[in-house]
Amino acid sequence: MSLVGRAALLLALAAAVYGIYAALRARQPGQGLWQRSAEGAVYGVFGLTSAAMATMWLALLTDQFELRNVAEYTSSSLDWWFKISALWGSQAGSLLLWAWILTGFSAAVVYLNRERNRELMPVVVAVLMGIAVFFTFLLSFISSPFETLATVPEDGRGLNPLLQNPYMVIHPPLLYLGYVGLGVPFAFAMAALVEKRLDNEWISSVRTWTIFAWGFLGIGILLGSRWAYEELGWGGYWAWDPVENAAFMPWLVATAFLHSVMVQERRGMLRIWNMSLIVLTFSLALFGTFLTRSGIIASVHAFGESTLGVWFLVFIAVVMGGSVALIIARLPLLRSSHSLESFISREAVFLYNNLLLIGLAFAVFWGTIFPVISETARGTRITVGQGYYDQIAMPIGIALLILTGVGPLIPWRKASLDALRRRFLIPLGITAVAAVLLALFTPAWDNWAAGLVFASAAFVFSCISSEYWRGIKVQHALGGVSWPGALLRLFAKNRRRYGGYLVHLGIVVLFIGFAGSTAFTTSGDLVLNQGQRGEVAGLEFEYESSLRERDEHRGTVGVNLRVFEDGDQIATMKPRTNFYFADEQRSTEIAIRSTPQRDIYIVLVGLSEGGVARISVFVNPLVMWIWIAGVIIAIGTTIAAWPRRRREEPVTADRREKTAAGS
Amino acid sequence: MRSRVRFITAISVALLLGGWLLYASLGGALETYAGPGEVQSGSTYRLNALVASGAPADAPERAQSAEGLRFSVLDKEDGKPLEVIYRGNVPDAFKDGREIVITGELKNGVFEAQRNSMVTLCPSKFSDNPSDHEPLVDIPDVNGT
Repeated sequence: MSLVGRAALLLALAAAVYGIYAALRARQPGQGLWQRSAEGAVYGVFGLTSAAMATMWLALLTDQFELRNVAEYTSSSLDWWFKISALWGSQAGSLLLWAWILTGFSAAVVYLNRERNRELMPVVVAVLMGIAVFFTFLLSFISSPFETLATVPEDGRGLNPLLQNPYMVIHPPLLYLGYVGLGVPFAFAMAALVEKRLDNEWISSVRTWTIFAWGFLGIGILLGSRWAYEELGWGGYWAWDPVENAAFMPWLVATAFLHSVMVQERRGMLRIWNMSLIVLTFSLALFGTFLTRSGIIASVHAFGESTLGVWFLVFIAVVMGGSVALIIARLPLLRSSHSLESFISREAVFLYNNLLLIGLAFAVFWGTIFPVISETARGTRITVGQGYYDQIAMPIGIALLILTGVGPLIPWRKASLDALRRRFLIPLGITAVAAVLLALFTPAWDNWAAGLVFASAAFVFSCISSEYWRGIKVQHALGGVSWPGALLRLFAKNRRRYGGYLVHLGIVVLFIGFAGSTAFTTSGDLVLNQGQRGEVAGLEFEYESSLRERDEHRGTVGVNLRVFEDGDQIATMKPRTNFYFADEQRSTEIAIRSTPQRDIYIVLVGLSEGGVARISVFVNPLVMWIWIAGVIIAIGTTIAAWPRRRREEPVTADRREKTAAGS
Repeated sequence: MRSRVRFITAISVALLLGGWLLYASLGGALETYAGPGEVQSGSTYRLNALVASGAPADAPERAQSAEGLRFSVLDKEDGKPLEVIYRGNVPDAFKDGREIVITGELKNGVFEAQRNSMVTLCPSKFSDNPSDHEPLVDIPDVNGT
């Protein structure tokens, strides 16, 4: 097993090195053969990393405990799907997943561009294979997933019970699809720089990739927070932990990039800025991978210190140094073809949106690495509390939310006051009405920030609705369709625009969820005897019965609670605590009852021998909307990223893709 | 040219505002990482240490009671002990020998932690160093059990 896996990775490394060489040879004119050879090498590398993945999975599924990664992260009694996900539970395994996704994407890029972007492809292949070399090198010589143990243990250590959760099966792969996917636009950007083809072609070639990678990263982050919410038992889903920040920063910069490329496509501006953003995005994705492995920053998810840190730092330095040098060398070619005409125009709003996003990303970055900086500069490790992040993220977040509504309604180039009045009159009216209604019938304004978010949400919602409405009216006026048909045609006509608006709607819903659950959470601890009732946030909790069970692996204690609101029973909730004998590990199973209005979240803290139960209760309003927002954003992203019919695309068309894309 | 001047002014104002926000937010939120031997009364620390053996098995329940959870921690390097009092949510991974981080202040020789501030560091995740699985120092029994 070990030998097969190691051999596959070494061969992958060799093939990737050859791929770079062949791709660089292919840059000379008339060297088509070299290019075909380089692209063959890309497929080969993907095949070899796939073989390594398959070997690792086989080892995990068949309990090959002579492998360290199998022995330390699984045990023979583990369910098969957790054995599969144990692959990314270990450091080396997660690197293997990174490399596998990267080489898979590389193969897909080569296949999809076999008749397009021919002059960019040699460098694209070289850059992608360069990244692959780095990862396969680490996997072969620094942190091998196929390391064997001197003495083979009877059984494995088992997977940390915290990780035995469906969200942990799916969260890391999604996150990596996002991280790694961001490498593709980076490779195209580098190719455009090297080949001096700095028109908008490289951007439209990787548009779909960028949106998908961005979407995967976002959904990955949301699933991670959902996991934290359901497993960690402190009633929240986001704590500005370094590991969370590590994924959040590239997402922020990628968001900025997705918006500012539109300015380049439309107005030929911000070329240098866009190049810098894509370099920054990819560097931050690498930095995120580095942060979670280097052990330089203490975190809830605490990854032990490892020797990989230095390698990653060197690689990030090479990536950033190389691309910055390239950008500087090409500066004369990156000049804008237009300049900003007005501060009230679409492109100006995009600029504000970019400054806010990058500002936030910088603030998060600063807070994340502050302990390292202070230790280097002053010798003491000083960290910033959550208050720092909250204080910065709140005003920037609200400003971004408002821009989400403003942007699409402001015309390009220059907006006349008259046009602004016409477009914003109705949304502002609706916002005013909503703000008053919120004040009269809900406690929304008890917390001014939350009130502001809700009012802004109403504003953005009405702005986006008015955009849809204008589009639908036009489609309907063209005739031949019903009103719902007009909406469908709208989406079909301009997927990116209307899919994007759907993503914006999702963001609005997301903010509603954040505001509700941040500002209006109530919690309380109860100590109850059987039959007794206690009260938290106007809800009554009655301790109905308890249970104690044990099998060979674990013991379970639990209580059943009846929940009453205004005297009526609304639910029976069953929080549990498991105790795993093998590693003396406690594992809390939180009971959550989710409704659109609020979540009731109960942690069983303990059940004494005498039957006294201690529970922690959290009542978190509107949390469910965060997950609903995730679904809306995923749908919007899919619509926006769905490949367009080729005839809409300028320049090179690929007929074979036409049928696939149009279906 | 006038638009360029305005543009630069706008960017500078934005940078200044951002810088001020950063500075203002940072001011109130600083906490120093320290081991048991390094904390002094009067300021807030993030105490990073190992749980000494003999930590109560019913820790979560004690942490919720009025008296709070009392336990000892040891310095990761020199093994110097410190008594801690804590209330709030106890992570599942809390047990003898675990590395934890808690935020709080030293009062009368006891480290009084802020509510819900305990974070446990899971030793096995993403580590390629076998010794990470075992505590770095021997854990003397200072909790007296």
